[in-house]
Amino acid sequence: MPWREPGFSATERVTLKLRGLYEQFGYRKYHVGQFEEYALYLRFKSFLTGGRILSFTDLDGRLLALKPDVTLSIAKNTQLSGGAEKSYYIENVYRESASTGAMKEIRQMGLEYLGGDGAYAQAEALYLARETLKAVGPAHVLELSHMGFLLGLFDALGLEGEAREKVLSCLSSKSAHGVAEEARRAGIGAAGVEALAKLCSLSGEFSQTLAQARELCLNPRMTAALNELNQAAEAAGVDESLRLDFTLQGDMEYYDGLMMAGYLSGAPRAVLYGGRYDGLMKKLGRDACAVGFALYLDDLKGLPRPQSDCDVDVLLLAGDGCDPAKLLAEVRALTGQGLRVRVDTQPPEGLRCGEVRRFEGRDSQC
Amino acid sequence: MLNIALPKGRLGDKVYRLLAGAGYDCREVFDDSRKLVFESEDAGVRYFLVKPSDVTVYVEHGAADIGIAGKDILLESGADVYELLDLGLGKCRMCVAAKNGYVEDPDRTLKVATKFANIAKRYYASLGREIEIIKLNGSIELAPLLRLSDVIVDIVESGKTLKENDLCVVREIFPISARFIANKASYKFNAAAIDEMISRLSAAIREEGEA
Repeated sequence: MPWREPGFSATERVTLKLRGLYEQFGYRKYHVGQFEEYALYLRFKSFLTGGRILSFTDLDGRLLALKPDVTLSIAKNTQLSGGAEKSYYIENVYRESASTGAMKEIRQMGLEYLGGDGAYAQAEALYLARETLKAVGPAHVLELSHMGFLLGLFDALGLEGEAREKVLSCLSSKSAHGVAEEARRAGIGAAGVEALAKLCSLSGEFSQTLAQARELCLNPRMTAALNELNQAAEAAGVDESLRLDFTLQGDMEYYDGLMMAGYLSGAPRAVLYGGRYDGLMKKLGRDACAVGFALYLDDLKGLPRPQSDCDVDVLLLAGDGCDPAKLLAEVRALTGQGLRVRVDTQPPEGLRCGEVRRFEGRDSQC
Repeated sequence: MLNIALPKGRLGDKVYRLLAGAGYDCREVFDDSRKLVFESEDAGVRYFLVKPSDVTVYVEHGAADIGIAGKDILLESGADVYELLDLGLGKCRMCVAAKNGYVEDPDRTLKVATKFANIAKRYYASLGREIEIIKLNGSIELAPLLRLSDVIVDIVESGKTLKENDLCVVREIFPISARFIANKASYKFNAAAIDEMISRLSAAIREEGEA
């Protein structure tokens, strides 16, 4: 009997599609346990955005945590043997919700590319991030930034410590007046204040914005960051959906090179975050490049989906005492025609039916 | 079509007048006071009139693409939005105030009455001061008078209410003014229209300042 394709939600559809895409590029599915040693997150607390972690004492006395992040677990546990390790995952993480102040279960699908050639890895990650967005919806924007460019500018201007954090915070809200105020308070000169404030408007179409950013370069670190961005973007293909925005900040603090965020028309916030995190690998004692991204599957639920007019095509009302064999045969005959059928004794409340039929013994009628 | 969350009240009225003057007119806004949504297809805008403290909620969740909110509301809500322009309107200050002659006892937990619990918590945490927050929703000035709290953290405009209630400003926490905010994702898809609106609005504010 030919099965009818179910009314997939955006999340289900995308998950299936992306599994195929990632496996085509040589990524293997990776499953991480729900719990990790709490000590791991304590050690890397500065890399994790957001405060609280759900922890509990296991039966053997070990302090465990519901994982707030998948990347950290994969980076720690993956065996690297010279070549690259490529993994993708579909997992839940547990984080504090900024809007409700309560813990939230968040479903993520993402990939990690550990080891191998860094330049190729980030070009591939960038390409796949854009393909990921394309798989969800046609109207999308993939935004890029590079921490090296920002930190290079901060170094050149002598912006350090708490002032640096405050400027970064103002940058994330594109508050040019806030950036200027904080920079002035930190004793930065007029030219420096202007350069920092300019970062807020340094966003838009990739090539044009890159050219504008080059005018701000004050040291080799900034130039190298832009070159790296350009190399990855050129390799992945520059189109109008690719943008540069130096106010972009990731969902996690461990991104220390190229960073990306993906937006879909109709979703109120970024649905994809990713980037390069070699520094995290180093802290884990591993000398390897690392790049990855995660798609926030829960945020896709709010996107418009093709609405079916009804929940079932045929509601078959069968009274008590019907012959079950005949009834099932009738259901199979209808489903065989590709119809969705539900049997009940009376119309269920709230169920949208294409048509209602009454089954009476041998005969059925509309 | 840009969806704009305007705060009900004086600030919203003023910003609307500036926007209308800058080409974003929607005649019916003041015609029917019970209506909450006003649309002008020609100008490409749809206005929502909402409670000032809700503007950030509408914008952060994408129900509105842009909005006008005070810096106090932005900092209290911690909304993850773009703050694209300081409009320089509705200027006032977030302050710590106490009864005239009040002397703080550093040996005691400080009792702070406020509507702005997050701002107060963050401010005193930055000073390393232990406090107890007493959350109130209005008439904050009463709290120190009735010994409900030692100090209050509240908005001070002219200082007249404080003066009339035998209170004074002990410390200014930060200056406040109205900000033009935008939903981060909406901005990615409507940057040109939003930037154009900011530029016209800035020009209207400048002109008004010069007049």
